[in-house]
Amino acid sequence: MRNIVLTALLFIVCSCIGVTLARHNPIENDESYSQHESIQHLSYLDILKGQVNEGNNCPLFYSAQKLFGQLAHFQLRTAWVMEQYVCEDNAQIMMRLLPILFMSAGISLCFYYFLTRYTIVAAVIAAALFLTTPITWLYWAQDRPYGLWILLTCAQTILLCEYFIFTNKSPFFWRSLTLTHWLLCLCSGFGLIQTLLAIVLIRKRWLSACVLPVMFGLFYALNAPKYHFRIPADWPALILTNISVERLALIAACACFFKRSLPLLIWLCALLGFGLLLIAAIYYQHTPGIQGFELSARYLLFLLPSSIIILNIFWQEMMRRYDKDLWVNLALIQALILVLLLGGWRTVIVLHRLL
Amino acid sequence: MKKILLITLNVTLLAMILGGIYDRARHFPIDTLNEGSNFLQSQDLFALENGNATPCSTFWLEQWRKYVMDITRYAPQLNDSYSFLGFYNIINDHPQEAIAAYERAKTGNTTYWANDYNLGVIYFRQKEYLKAIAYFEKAATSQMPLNAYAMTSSKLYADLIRQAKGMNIDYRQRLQNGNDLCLLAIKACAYALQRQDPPPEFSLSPVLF
Repeated sequence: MRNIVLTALLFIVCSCIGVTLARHNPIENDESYSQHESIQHLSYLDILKGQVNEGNNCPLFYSAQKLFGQLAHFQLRTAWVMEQYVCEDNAQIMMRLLPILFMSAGISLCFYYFLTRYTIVAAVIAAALFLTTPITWLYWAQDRPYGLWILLTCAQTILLCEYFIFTNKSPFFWRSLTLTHWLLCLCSGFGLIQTLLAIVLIRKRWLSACVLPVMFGLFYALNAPKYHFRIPADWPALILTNISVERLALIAACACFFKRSLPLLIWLCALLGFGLLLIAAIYYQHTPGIQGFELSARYLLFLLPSSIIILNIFWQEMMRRYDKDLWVNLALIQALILVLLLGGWRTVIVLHRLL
Repeated sequence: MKKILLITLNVTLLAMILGGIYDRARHFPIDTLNEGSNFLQSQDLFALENGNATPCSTFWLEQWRKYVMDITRYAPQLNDSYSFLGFYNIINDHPQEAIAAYERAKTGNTTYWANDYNLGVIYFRQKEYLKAIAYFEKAATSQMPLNAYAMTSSKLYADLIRQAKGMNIDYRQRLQNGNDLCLLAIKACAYALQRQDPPPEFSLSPVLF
């Protein structure tokens, strides 16, 4: 009961933070375009038929947002579509309420998991790791599928941790994993890759938890319009915005001493490898002279929840294993403080303009 | 051996934490200003300057105020930031605060035309035409090369021009137009002094630079 109350409190606080962010930031043209062209302008059938005119053909988010808009009687004015910034209090909040709730649910889910599996300190560290990452704040209140994607990636990573670290193979686990993969494949094009990688690692339940959802997801991904992309000059930032160097270093250091870390380490490396592969593919396929869209760090957002959960699990397991060794404990605590401090500084700078 | 290694690791981590705090504390103001200026837009401010409010003009005016307040906090020697605070206060109808901000700006640059012009605008709106004429005359006789130098060497004006996306802001042209604006304002003051009322349908707006 205590765990549920604490998680509910965190969820409420996170939702309030999200609403504050929404109130302080005008609507960007990407958001107004999605809301008008992909949500209001299309019927449910059009959305389910994959007729969304966006690179990320995401029927789950668009239909949820459409349903919410209808229930709340909210319509974005046509005059605002494609405006770079739109300031209107009601629209700023109503458009972003659902993504805010998804993002808050993602953070709360991690908090609840560590609260039940480990201790309240572990849960607080998980929430702190989220809150000391600038990209969390940047996409917390955006009328795009990123909040939902983070929530589903949190669920997928937690389920993988359950399988590999706690050897949980209950029917509930398999049902949850199957559901998460279905939702993930209907949420993001890269959700297909996440699903494939997870099932290759688990090597079980191929049909229900992988092949079928991936086929559905593939249908939407193939139906989506294709755009030209280019790589920014500071390309390592695409990865490091989601997993900072110090977090990577701490994960690597902990993994060296934590025996059961290998499957999760492979999972994280596979995600990182996919990110690097994507960057390389766009770099080599880019035709000079075509401007294209610049690849953004938000496309690799799946790295954020995965790295946070894996880092926290490795850290907690190390603390458990060396609980009698003062110097190891001290080193681990100092390393975590350093990680939080560096992330905190970057976050404060971003928050300075967001709030 | 293991203990020595662990102690070394701990000392290294502690040094990194303290070094990190020291380093971040030094770079924080610069990082904050850079992050702030990259996000800002100034089209809405130029619209306000022409007397046109946009749906986002209040938002951007407030964002620029926050940015300028950071400049005054981290680099108080940059007096031109007070010129912007003056502009902000005129738009928000706080003439006394605007006068105080422009007087503060003038302590750093006594010859910059926009400070005098905007002070003239405030007094014109308060129907103190003699005071207004004095400021407009001072603004009109201000030396163009000095104004151009003041503008090109200012981070704030560079940001205002850079962030006016889709607008081709030519500061030299604006300085030329500024001279015409001053002469027009002087004529308006002379008209108002004769008839104890400003010219019908005539209004003076503050300028950003």
